[in-house]
Amino acid sequence: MASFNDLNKHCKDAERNVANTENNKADLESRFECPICLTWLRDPVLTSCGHKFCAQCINMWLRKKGTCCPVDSQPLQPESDLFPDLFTRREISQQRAHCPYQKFGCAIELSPIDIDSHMNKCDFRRQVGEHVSCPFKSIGCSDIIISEEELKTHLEHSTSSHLTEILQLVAKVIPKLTSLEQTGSSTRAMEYKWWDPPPKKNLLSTQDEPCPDWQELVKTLYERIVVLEQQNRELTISLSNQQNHLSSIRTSVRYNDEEMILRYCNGLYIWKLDSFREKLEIMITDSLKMFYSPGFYTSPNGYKICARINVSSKDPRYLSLLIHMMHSENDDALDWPFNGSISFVLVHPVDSERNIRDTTFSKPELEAFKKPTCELNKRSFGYTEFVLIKDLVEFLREDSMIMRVEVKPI
Amino acid sequence: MANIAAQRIKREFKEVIKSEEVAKCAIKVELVNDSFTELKGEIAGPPDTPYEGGNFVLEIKVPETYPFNPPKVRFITKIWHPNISSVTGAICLDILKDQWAAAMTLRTVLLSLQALLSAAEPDDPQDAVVAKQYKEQPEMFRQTAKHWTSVYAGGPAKMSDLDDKIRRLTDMGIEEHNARVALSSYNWDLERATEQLFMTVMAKN
Repeated sequence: MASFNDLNKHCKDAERNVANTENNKADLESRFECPICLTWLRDPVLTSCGHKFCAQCINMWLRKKGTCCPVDSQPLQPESDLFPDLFTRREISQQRAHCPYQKFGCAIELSPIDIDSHMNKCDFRRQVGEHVSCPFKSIGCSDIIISEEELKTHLEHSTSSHLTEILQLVAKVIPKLTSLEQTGSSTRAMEYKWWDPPPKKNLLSTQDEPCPDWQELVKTLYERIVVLEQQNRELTISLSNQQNHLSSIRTSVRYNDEEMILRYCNGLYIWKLDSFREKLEIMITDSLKMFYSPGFYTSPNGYKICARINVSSKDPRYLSLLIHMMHSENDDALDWPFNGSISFVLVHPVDSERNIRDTTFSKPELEAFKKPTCELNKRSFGYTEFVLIKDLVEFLREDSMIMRVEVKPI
Repeated sequence: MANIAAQRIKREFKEVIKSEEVAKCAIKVELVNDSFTELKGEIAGPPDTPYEGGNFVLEIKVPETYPFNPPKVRFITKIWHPNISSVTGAICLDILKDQWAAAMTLRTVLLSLQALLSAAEPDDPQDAVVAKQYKEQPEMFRQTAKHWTSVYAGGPAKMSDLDDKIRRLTDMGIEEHNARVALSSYNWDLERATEQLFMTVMAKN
């Protein structure tokens, strides 16, 4: 009787064979293979150019794709260039292949061509996974059950054999169980020993010790407590000092960080305007009101620039976005007027495709790009009509607006 | 019909896996779904071409009427080649169109594509820009194709001068691939590529 592993393997093999009509006894040789369907030639025909196909395959090809051989592109006429190849047909019909369900008991051997039609009505036909295992398998029942009904009858008929198997198993297990119990009880005895109170000899000796020793002990312990309390107080004080120091360092680091970002942003500044609606309201009511970004640098020792927004003085429906050159300690070492590209991007909070962007180049003749004579060059450069104010709503997220200004000297 | 298509693909799949080209890592096929209607192919760039050292991934879609109609194949890996669209990866190859024959298989298709990489047909182009460069500036074409192979197909060549030009454009805020396409299309003339890119940006606004 086949073991279950074998059965599983056979089922898989069978499935593979069902798909391929391949068989170990008659492997598909290339001379029996149709170049179109890649399976056994069925009603083989020979073309005038010497190639064999299934009749159905080559006719379908010629009907669909015109008039040449799929192998060598020679012109073919369905009426005059195809000949039934009875020789090959006879050779294939003499090949013998096992039914793929052989492993389930089918003993039939057929020509590969006939296997397909046989498989559909084979008595042993089944799919992988259709078999059921006997619940007593784990205790040694090795019967293979094919269906639920069979399982029922199997269980009814094999009760006595199943019982015998259980008995044998129990007989094997009992001696093991008893030996386990024995080892268990001996370890428990050991444990009890550990938990036993100390032998009487020790008890006697403690009683022999005089009481004044205890007072001595309490005194020493008390002294130690005092010392430890003192140390503890000192440590608490030093810890709180350290914490204060740390928080002051943190603040200065944060400040330096902000400075660092502006200095090392390489001309790319992300300007986040919080509570933007309020700012917009202020700019609309007072058209002279402007908001400036902090000054940022095109490189650590480069040009210092800030961005500015305000409501356009020409057309109050628009928001202006501009930049100012700022005075920095490096100005004397730089080239003037400033020459480079400037891009303004109004960042859409969700979809960068909808960003509003404009890139432009500096114009050296403009006053705005000359060396600043005071903290901020009064002349600005950019778009006075950058975006319609009414379009701004979709660019706000939690009442903040993000602008990206990028300035690159050439 | 669908049955014969799936059955044939299963067999061809085995044929490719067993073939000596796979052993040499020249071609590869993987299944994308269980129904055998979509596969992923891979071909190695042929030696002594700008594609050498690259691995090119292909999308293969098997129609229900296969093998009476050709499989639909396109390049997933971006490639610079006169007969392959640099945008969509669409391939202009006769056997994938009117010269298809039912006796052809996945293996022969992949090998034909590999042959196409070795021998372009600029007179029957899929990408006119690439074909023009191929005919008029063959050395420029070779450099560009090599560069694309290194960027998109894992090719070995590193070309710092071309990378520098791309960086010049990305520094101006141009997306890297767009910069590469513009430069490749204008024979790596930075000025013309910039001009073309900024005109597009303005047109978008």
